Amino acid sequence: MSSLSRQSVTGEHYQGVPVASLRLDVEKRASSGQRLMMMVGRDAGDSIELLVAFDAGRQIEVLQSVVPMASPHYPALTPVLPAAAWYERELAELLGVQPEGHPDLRPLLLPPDWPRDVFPLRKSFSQRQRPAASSRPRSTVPVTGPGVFTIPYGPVRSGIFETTQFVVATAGEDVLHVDMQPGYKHRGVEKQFELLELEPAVLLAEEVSGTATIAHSMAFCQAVERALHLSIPPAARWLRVLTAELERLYNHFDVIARLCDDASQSVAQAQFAAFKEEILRNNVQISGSRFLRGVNQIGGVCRRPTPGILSRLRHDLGDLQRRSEDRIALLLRTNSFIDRLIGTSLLPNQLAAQFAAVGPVARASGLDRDCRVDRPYAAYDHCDWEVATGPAGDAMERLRVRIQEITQSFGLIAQALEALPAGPLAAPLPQSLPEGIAAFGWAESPRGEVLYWVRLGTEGRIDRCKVRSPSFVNWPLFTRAIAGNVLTDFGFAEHSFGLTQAGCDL
Amino acid sequence: MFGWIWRGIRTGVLTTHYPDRPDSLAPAFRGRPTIDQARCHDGACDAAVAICPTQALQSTPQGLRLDLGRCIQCGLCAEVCPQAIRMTPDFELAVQQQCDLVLNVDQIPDEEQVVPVARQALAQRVKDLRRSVHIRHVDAGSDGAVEQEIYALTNPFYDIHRLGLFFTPAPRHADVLLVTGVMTRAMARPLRETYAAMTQPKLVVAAGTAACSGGIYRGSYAVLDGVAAVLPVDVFIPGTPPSPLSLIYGLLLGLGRVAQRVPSQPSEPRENDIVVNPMSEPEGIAHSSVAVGEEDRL
Ligand code: SF4
Repeated sequence: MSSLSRQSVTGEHYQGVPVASLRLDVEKRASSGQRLMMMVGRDAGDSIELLVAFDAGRQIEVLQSVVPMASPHYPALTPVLPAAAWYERELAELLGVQPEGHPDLRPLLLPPDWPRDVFPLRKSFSQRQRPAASSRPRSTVPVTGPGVFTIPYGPVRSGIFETTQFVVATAGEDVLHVDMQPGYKHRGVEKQFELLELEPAVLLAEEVSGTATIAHSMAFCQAVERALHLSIPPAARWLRVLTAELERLYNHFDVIARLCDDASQSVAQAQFAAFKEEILRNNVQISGSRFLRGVNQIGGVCRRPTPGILSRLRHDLGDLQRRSEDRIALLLRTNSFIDRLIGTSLLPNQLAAQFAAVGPVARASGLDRDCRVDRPYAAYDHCDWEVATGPAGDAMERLRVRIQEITQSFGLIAQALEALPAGPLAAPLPQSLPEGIAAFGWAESPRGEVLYWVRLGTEGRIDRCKVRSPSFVNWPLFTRAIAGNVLTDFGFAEHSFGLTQAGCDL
Repeated sequence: MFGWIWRGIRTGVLTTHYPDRPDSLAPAFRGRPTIDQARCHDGACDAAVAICPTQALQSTPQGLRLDLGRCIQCGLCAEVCPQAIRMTPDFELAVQQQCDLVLNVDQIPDEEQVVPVARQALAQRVKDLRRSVHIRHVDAGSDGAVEQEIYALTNPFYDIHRLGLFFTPAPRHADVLLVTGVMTRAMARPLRETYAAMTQPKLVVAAGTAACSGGIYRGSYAVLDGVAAVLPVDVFIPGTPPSPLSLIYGLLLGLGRVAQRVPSQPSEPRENDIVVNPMSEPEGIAHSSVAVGEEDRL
């Protein structure tokens, strides 16, 4: 029987709330405009601990409730807080705690043939179990009306895509409604964390979403560092900024290349794909890996590039910046391209706020949120730059925000190269790791805020590691923004959101 | 429009000539570990075995054993035992049999030692595919990076169209099924259905360490530990993720256009080879190819 998670770090405030009044408390916070950051459930032996984390400026405020294991029910939060919908489906499915009054408790992440009464995040379930198949059909939200039919996109999709499934209801040209069924890529990430010791767990964090290696490993490391009160050395802080911005650059170029592809702009597509390739090649020099694996460790970073490599990087990126700005300027003058983006997959500010959007998607709908500034980490509090936002909320605005971020990333990298001090790369781990301490860790990935909550168990093992990627938050918004568009704009809409499935399905 | 054409011309040709002319990734690239156990002292190699996060490195009575299908190229082993273990930028790691992924350290090829073994059964099966080959990609639970590497195959640096390789969304037109990811439980059925929709002859390529073995997710409740659990795999391409050059090498290996560099192990022909294409595969051929591999290795 383990006790409740202890609050141990500044910037996080835990408040115990009886489960009967949880909904009321949540409603108050939601109506005062606090953003839901994450919901976590944890098997605490004879009970399930529920955490509901809100963004209160510099502080993370956490409501902490206890649901008895003998009768795992609580009043659902979704009716008063729509952004809780997927978290509660996840809780019901993976941990077996029932949110009563939830409007839609279809399975979200587990395989279609998974038995309904087996909950993999319970401690009584061992990771190595693979229960026999049971038949459990997946249903989609029915949309009825004359002439309406549904088209399934996926799970095997046409083209080089990650696997997922959209069920599109249409009356011909227009998309009426999209229901998304993620989960085909569910790999059991959170349970897998519980098997590993702290240091190799960083490698698992790198593989949660392989195109946000730095953001995920950094968020995980920072959660542990915060829980242990480790102060990481300045060189490591700047190297984290450097690599995180390289990650942003190649991902943003990838999004632009994909959009050009959708618009059949083949020369432009080739140019932006080549820019991305140049960055991936530079990444090898920095880290030995095209996707920046092996950079972070708990307490700091693993390696420091030689001065020769750093000066070559400065030169190569300066050159790349000049060429990319020229191509971007031309792209913004290419009407046949931008005409496809303007007004496409509109996400109104209010909807984005209601569903707690993050990342470029949120910023392009006028929400000024970026955890590099809101809760600075690494060396971002020493950096000089501004968060890019825009009010329009369409695919074009999301492109504009990314374009500004490309310029800023080049600038941030230059600052990091300038400021990078000598000195140690990592703080040593303490000899003993106290049981029960827990903390949040976060990082702004190219797609938005990555959030981890890590709680240590016995013998330095991980008792619970909750991962929340920006894609998990933003996919439900995509399905809403695409409604009302024509089917042929699906690709533009999807790529302008620029999300991944790996980070969502876990 | 003119602007783009002009810039396209000005950019010039970036494309690699691989495999006609050798290409390489930067020396810093972590491709695979090489091990010279004789140089190990103080039992540091035991520490390397202990630290390996995927049990790719194991110690056996015959010495260390490295499973390329499980290695995620993290480089931890080389940090723990730098005298004996070194990371090399080698990317030509694809093999045609799962057992070939497992190397005893004394078998790890030197840069020069090339072992030309193409399994004849496979060669027979793909001999009609030599001109233009269509590839269908299916993601069975990847981390998303390998899709970006596959997408990169069409960028100006790699441009696989020059090799007669094309991507197609239609399984019926596809010759190669390129599967990425750990092989999640949920994707088993959709993947089988895609395979069934393809016409003969067809090749299955498992791209990435995850697709070879499940990688760091091996053993998870939602994972079937690699594509071979669901489909007969013809080529295994290790890599986390495999670089575009590794993917090109693996695809060409499957098409019999390059030779396998990792030494081949003797093995029984798989049941599936016979089932899939009974006409073109007399048993004797499969066995003789095994014999050739054996001699070359010894
Ligand atoms: S590189 Fe990493 S995964 Fe590969 S053998 Fe070494 S320790 Fe194991």
